[in-house]
Amino acid sequence: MDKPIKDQYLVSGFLVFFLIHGMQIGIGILGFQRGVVKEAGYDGWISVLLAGLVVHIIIFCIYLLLKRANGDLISIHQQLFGKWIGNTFSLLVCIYLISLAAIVLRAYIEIIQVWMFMDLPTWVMALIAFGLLYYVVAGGFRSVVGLTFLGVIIPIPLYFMLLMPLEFAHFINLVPIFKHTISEIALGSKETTLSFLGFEILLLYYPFLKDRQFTQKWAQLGAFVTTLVYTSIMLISLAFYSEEQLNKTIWSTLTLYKVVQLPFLERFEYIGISLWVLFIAPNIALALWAASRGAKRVFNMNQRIALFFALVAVTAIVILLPTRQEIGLFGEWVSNFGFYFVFAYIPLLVVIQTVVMKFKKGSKGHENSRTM
Amino acid sequence: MKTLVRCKILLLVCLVLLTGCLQTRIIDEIAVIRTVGFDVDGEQGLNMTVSFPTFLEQGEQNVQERDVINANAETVKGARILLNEKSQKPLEFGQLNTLLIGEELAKRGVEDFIDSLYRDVSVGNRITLALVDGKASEIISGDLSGGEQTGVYLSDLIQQNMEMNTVPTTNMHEFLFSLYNDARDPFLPVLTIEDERIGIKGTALFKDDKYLRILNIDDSFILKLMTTPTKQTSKQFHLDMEEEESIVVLEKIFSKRKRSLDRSGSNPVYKIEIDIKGEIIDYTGKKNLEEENLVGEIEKVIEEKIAKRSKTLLEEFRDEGMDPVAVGEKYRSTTRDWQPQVWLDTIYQTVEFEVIANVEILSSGAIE
Repeated sequence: MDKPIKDQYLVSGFLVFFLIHGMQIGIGILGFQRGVVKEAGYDGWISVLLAGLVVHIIIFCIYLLLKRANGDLISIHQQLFGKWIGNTFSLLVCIYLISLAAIVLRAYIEIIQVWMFMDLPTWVMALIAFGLLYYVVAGGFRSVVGLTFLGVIIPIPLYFMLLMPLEFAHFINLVPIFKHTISEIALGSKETTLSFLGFEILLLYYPFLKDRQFTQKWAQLGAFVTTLVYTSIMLISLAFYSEEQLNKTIWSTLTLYKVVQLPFLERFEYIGISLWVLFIAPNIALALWAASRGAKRVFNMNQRIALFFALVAVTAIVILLPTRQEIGLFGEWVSNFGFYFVFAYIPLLVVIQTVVMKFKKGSKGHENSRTM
Repeated sequence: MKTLVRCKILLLVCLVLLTGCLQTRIIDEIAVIRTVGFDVDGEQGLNMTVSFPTFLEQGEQNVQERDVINANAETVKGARILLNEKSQKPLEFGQLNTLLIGEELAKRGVEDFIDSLYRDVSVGNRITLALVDGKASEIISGDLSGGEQTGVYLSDLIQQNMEMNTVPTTNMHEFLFSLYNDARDPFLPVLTIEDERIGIKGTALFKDDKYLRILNIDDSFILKLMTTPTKQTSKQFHLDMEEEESIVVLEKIFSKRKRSLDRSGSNPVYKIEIDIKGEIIDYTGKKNLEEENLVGEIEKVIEEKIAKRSKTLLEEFRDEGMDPVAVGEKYRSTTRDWQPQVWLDTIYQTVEFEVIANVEILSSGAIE
């Protein structure tokens, strides 16, 4: 049913570390603190840890699904629901990925508009991004992985800059821990969803990994590093801001960069925002690649054409979201869909798959190992 | 291949053309505001004064002058529009480094005004805030800086005094941190005009966002010891020992403080332990500093002075219902049932204080 991917298109297994980690770190990290603190107060860092833990479990589920099906999400859907229903579900996921790419791009453009160039029209940035992203994604999966790799390596110094606000840290804010109830902390975890999303694209690029059965440790490590980064930033923010101040600050991480002062540079956040494109670009590129790959598998069409349509859709969505409220609303939709897709639908798929496999074993023996 | 090259050329052309799309901000064509002052205007109004350097382009020397403009409005942004109407070049707040608040306005509450600057992303987080004894516009428009430029002069003056001298350190971020903290109240340095020069007068204490009263320089030093660890401060002490009165000046004062809250008794006891290390650089007494015990005695007298005054101040703060030392923060960190209102109304009033000061004099200069 599924043609195996040719050897020259595969990437080394350990690169899944960069794919998972690079895809998770993106736009959410700039301001995820506010939502968490609204629910869980100074215990917000526990929420972040908790969310990270759940992500590990979901990655385990994803590997379970993929190993059993030996294919990608589209083949899983087809195996479980048949061609028509399965493809419809796959298409929904593609639309979700396009929306994810669009919201990330729009949120980044908004930051540029608020922080750097007030009079920058959205379409200019969208157009520049169009060209860049088409160029990257049309180069195939390997070039997207290359960009993701660089997108993880190059901005590492930005993390160290976040240690400088510790000059004003009041760690007394954090004690006593567990002041909030478990349900408040769990609600806080739900708020971090958009920041953790992205790893589920593993469902689509899994067949492109060499020795794919043995890559789970790298994927888990990638997610672990993400959790570590988020928890540290959360701890720094909680010590740096007071609770109400954090509630007021939309881009808390960017505001952290505002106090970084170097002898030759008074305001570091402008460098930070400009370099942030290195976090953003791989995010969008990978989501677009996955969306176009999904469309290719569903409709049997040329991936470049699918990519072109996906990019047009992204650009259209970006231009059609002019205000903060609309961006927020759309972001909430995407985040909610992503939340249920990742944290409810994927475990559900595992259950369905188990049932279907048992059923098939009963009737046809080892028939379902025929794929690949 | 050819189409690819064409595409690339088109992309380059686009990039070159698109760079013209945004409004540029060339340094000669904008007014870079260095100092902002807020004052009261009538019942509701705000009087906003800004100063920015101007450059005389012609002539042999590059003369740097400064210009001050002033406008009245209800809000900060409203005043900004009016200020722009009076300005030759567009005003930019990106290099703002000092914000002065007039006494009258501070009594009315400052949250809205500082919040408005916090909302503006072009304004830095580290800008220096100060209260003015009188009107902020007087300090900004008066030519009181001894030939130096007001823009840098004021922030340098305040920063220098915070680092090397006796006022507690603060900036916009720390002010907002304390303001939006339910267990802490902010403070600011106070500027005043004295003999045609600008100087530091003490520390302004706030309850929430309203200015309550001023602490003089000596008490500011005590507050500094109780709030922040200090480095390199200098301070003069009057010693009343049995035999004679003398003055001793300590330099390079490094201090640390440890706070604890004992809730075992009927009333919570807030204990603060201040460790001070310093060097004597001046001493007016007749005795020889090399003499045994004398340094020890001086240490003891200073310890007592600091401990006594600290305790009095803490009790005063408690009675006035404000909390610049962040006693509440310590209480919050030891309770699971934190209710800011209950703390402020009932518990804080029952807190008792205990201050221990440990002074260690490391050396006493190059002469006997």
